[in-house]
Amino acid sequence: MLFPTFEFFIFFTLVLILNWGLKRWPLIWRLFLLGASYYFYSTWNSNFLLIIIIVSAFNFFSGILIRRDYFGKRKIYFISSVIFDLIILGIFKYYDFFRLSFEELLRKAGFIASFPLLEIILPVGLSFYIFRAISYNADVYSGKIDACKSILDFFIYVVFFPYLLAGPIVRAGDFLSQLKEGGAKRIENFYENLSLILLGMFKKLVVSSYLALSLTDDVFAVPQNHSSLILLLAVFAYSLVIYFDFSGYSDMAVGFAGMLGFRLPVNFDLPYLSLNLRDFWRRWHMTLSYWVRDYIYIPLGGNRKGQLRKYLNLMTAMLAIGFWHGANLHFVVWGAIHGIGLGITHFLLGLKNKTKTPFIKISNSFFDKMKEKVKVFMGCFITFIFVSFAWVFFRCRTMNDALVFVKTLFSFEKIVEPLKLYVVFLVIFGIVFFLLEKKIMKALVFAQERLSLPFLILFISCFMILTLKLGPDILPSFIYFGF
Amino acid sequence: MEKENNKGLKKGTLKSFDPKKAILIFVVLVLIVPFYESKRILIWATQRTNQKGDLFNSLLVSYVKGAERMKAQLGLDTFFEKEHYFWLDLKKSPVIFEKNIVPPPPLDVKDGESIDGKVVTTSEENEPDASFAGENNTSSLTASEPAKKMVRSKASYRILIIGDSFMAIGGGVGNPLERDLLNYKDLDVYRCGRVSSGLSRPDYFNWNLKVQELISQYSPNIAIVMFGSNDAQAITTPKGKVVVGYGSVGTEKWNKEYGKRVRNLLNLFKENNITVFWIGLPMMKKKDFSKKIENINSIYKKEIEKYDNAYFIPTWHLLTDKQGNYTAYLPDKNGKMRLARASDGVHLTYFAGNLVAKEVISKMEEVFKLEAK
Repeated sequence: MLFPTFEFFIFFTLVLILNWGLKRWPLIWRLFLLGASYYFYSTWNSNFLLIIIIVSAFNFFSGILIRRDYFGKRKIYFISSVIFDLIILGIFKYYDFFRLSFEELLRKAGFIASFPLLEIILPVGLSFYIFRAISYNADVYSGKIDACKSILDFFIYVVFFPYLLAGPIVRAGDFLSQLKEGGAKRIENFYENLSLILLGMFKKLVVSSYLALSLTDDVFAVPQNHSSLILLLAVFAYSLVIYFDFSGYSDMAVGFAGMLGFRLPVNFDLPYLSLNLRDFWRRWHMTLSYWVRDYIYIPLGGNRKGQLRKYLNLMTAMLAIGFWHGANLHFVVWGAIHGIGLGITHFLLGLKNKTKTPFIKISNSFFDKMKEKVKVFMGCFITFIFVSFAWVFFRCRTMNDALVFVKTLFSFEKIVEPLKLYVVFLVIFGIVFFLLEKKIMKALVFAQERLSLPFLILFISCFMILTLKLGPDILPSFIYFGF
Repeated sequence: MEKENNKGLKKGTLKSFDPKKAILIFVVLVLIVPFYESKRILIWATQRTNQKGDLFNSLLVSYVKGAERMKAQLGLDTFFEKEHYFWLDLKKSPVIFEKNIVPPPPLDVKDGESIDGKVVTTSEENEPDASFAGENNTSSLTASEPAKKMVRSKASYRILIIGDSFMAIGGGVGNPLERDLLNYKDLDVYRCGRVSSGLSRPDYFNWNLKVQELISQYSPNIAIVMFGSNDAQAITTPKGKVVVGYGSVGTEKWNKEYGKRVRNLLNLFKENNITVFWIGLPMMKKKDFSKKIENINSIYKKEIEKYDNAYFIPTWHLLTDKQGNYTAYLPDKNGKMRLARASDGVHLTYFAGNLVAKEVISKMEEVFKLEAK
């Protein structure tokens, strides 16, 4: 079941009714939430349920062992739980990569070996719930949170359907407290949540889908059949496609959870308006970048062990993000490009701090203001260009495809080619929509707050119908469901 | 109990909202929106046979079927049908979605001139149902009508790749095929794939009309075709009237009607001097489905044999193991076992797509003198 489908809306309405109706019986309410989430997950593949139940159970008991420190071996319990989670991730996500790599390695060493061919289906959302499980045990181990005493609560935390498939990657400390005593009694920020659902739908169904279907899918599939100019347009268009796709999903996740009385962390904050690459990673897929910061970068030493180590840690963190997306060289290269970019950014920012000149200096003179504006614009522009070109390695299916793309882009053999007018219109529309997104959101909330109930329903119905009408006949899957 | 205003908000704050009103909003929404969009949902829902057994999908389908009946009883069905096609037309309208700044690909003929003695028109005059009315009524491309717009590449081989998800962007066969073909000289490729489409359901996507349009736009002389993975279902007219029901898949009646659809398309290519390479479907993981696909392959083979401009390229044994069974892994040239099939047991990975592409190009090389770049 995908969010912007009618089946999901029927399912969600039923969940909404029972969620608020059962709150007076907290145990039944929590059992219901767990059942609803398992049902939601089973609509993808009922076999996936077994894996998520095993992962949940193992991590729950690990958390208890770590907290109680039986035989003084909490470190071993923690490491075992992480190894277990990584093995599960490795089997389901990286098995074929490891199988081929080991076979090749053994072949070079003079041995002929073949590992079993497992026809493995990657359970949707696996990478996300494994990360949630690891963060839980890491937080229990470091003492940030207490181990969850209720197996039911922990199971809900792992499988809660609004964020199950593609995040945000919620921390146990933020979520588990929301299950206490029947959770919230009223809906906080109702209009914001509703606007997030509507905007998220529009972003995915209209903006992202059309850009993907009419430009980027085609160009990235066979770049050598297109001109340099179209390739360039596709590079920028893909930045919009992935943003609207993923942030659209995240918006809907936050909105649906909000309707059920849960607060989820924000995952995006206008990332293409970032002043530099460091700023970008504070605004893009925030829950993943904070996860990597807290559970990889800082444990490795962060910036506390000298400059060289800091750059090495940055690179390791970015390579981990790349590898998390898939066991393909092109994802690793994408991570490495960001690692190098972040290294350079930190170096330049370090130089700036040494010379004591802030990146943005507040001044009253007209020229100084203009200078600052130009600086901000250039910062955003360069970051956007860098990030967009890095997406080429992310989007292409193989490293070879990515190299062909880059080669064709800079070959200028075929500079122009016929172009559909509406594609240019869509790209411009996407950029304008991105720039105005927060204002549109505010306007939506403002309008809804002032409408009486019948008009509010009419307004939402019209918005939804128009979004569906404008959307393509088919609903492409969300990009991040593949991870 | 705190006092609330008429919008369900607590007095003095805009932040907290009564869940009962939220429930009311969602219940009304879930009734209104599918009611309004019932036609579209019916097309979607019946397309996705894999959703069968999903409780909410069944609920939805029952509800929209009821909505369709109610619309008909209230006499609103004409309005909703017009409205449905208004949006479809709007999306196809030259102003919004189909306008080309420059016609693709480079021109070597002027408007009004003929290509190889054949004058091409667009398909605007076509009634949607007309393309399936009979075997001899497959095309509006006639020798007597004046040309409205013609575009032809300078290349000797103008290849049109069409099909369902196998050929669509990101599909397992279309991408490697297009990429590999571009390694040859004097050749242009235009690909048009449509996910979930086929020859059974022109109400969802009418390939006959699309092919006519593509021929008039690109004047290809070679077509590479792959259909069928979505076709083991009811056969409808372009307006959605069921000709042969789902239960009849594989029966003589179904085979006859499906065969007619295949001939319609082949006639269209024949009339326009287009050589066709029709790719057969591979074995599927689910045995029942595989049987249906085998039947569809046999229809293709039977019909294609009747045409001297068409070649059938089977992929069944190309993608099975040595015993002729379904396999998800196949050896590469170094003997390494590579994943060949997607997890759905239907689609192909790029590795298998490459194998199919090689097979197709090898067949094309037998027929044409393709020269590598």
